[in-house]
Amino acid sequence: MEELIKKAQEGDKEAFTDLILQFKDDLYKIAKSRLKEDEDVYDAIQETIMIAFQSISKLKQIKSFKAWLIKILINESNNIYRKKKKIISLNELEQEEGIKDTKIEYAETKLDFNFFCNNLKYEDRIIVLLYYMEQFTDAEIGKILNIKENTVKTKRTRAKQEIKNKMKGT
Amino acid sequence: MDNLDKKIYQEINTNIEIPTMLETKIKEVLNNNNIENKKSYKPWTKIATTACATVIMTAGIVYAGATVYEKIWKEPTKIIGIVSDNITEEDLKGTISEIEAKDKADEILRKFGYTNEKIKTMRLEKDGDDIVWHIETNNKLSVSFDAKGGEGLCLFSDDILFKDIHNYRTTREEAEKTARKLCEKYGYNIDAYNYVETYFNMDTEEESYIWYVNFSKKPDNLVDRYNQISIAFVPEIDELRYFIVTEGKYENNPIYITEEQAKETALTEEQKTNINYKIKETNAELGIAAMNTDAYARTIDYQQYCKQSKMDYLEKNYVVYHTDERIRKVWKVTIEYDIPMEEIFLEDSFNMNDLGYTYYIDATTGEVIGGESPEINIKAEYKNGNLVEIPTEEK
Repeated sequence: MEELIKKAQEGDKEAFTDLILQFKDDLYKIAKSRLKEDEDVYDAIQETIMIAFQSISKLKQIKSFKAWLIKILINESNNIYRKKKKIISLNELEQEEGIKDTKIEYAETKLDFNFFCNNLKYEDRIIVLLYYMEQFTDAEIGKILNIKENTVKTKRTRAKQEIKNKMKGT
Repeated sequence: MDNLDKKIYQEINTNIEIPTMLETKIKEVLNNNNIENKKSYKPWTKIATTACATVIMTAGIVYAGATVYEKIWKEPTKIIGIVSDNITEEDLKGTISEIEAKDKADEILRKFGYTNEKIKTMRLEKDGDDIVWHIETNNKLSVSFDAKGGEGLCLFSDDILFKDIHNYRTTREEAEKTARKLCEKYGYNIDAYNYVETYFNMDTEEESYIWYVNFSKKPDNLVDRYNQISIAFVPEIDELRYFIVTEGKYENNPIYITEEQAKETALTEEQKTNINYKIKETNAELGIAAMNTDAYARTIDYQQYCKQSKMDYLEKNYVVYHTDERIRKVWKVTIEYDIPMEEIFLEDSFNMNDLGYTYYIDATTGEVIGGESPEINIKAEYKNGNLVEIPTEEK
């Protein structure tokens, strides 16, 4: 990967594209956690690619490439989300806690991507995805989301408790 | 790491299908292939959809001295499921022809200095109840405008992103000057737009190479975002990323309702949600807002309102309401609930909608004409084992 980044920093588009392809699944999931429509997800990723390619020569720490890329993607996803938000449109409301009307035992609930999208609000969801799926530290997540590390810890604690309670179906 | 952590680690990556199209979309970006501009910016202010079929005619009137003001809120039409974006015969009434649209597009391209652009595609699109002409050129320029002759405009240049632009810099002060200069160059008198917001594309000014400036009108010192010119450009070369003109019909209605009356109306309305928390505070300020059905939907069926905010809620089950398009002076009354930190952060049953709500109370008639979810940010941290709210100053 380091080799590809260096080539990309010298303007090699093919190298940069290969680099992005290595992260395509992660980029898709991160954008999808914010944007419902795949077309918007593609837009967010394409915008991210263009911006990242133009700025990659400025990237000082190669090892933080992924975090840097995801940060741009989160910003672009938020931009698209905000631009599409309509005042009266009910389907553009923020993700909220759902109403559970069935009881499910702890061990049976699948904590897959859809579970988090359906049961956590975006602020908590993105932290869970970045922590468990992308395995960033709280400090790294704080930098990506421009929030304090302590805030990340608090939200992660809350999210985990929420997950636990959702699974119990109370 | 406890059992829950292990379970999350094991399962979080499951059950998500990555579309095969994704790889194609990634590969085409830097290959200078054409990217279809899917952006759906709305230059005109028809945020609320049109043509409510009145179910109940409200015959109420408001007296203000010797002048009688008729109530403006009508019972909205209810629709189950998402409204189709197919263009009907009814939609086409009053739209300009394709030839007229092409002439208008050519004129816009000339006005903005894109003399070498050739129109590649033209199509009518439906955006809520608005009908727009959407044009794309051979060099990834897109232009959208109201198909019924309004002055709204949306011009986007994707081509600029393929150029070597990341070294161009400016300052906030200079960005505003450049934006003004460009607006005048394109024939827009900025004098009437006296509220300015400036931002940039990267984390800091020093790193940024695309700047965004919004000019809004400000009648009676109220920011009118429905009458706005937004410009995004690359400094030093002064090339556009986008240019958006939004023109709404702000009614500039008089104020006959006091702040206290507005608050009382909002509080009465909010009681219908049966949210049982104690109210922390109620604030009101004058503003300009477009009529919408958000508050109506919230109070008529709060459970449904919360349910359909979920990402996977089936579109066929959405309950949507339509109302007239009116941009009015309103009291924006924000009700915020007093909720213990532990309940917000640790309770399963807590619903973020319960944090509070902002109602639009018409400044003339005193009716509830819309609303929005307010920006209520609550941050907390653990101190000495207890969850405490971080005071506003530290946020």
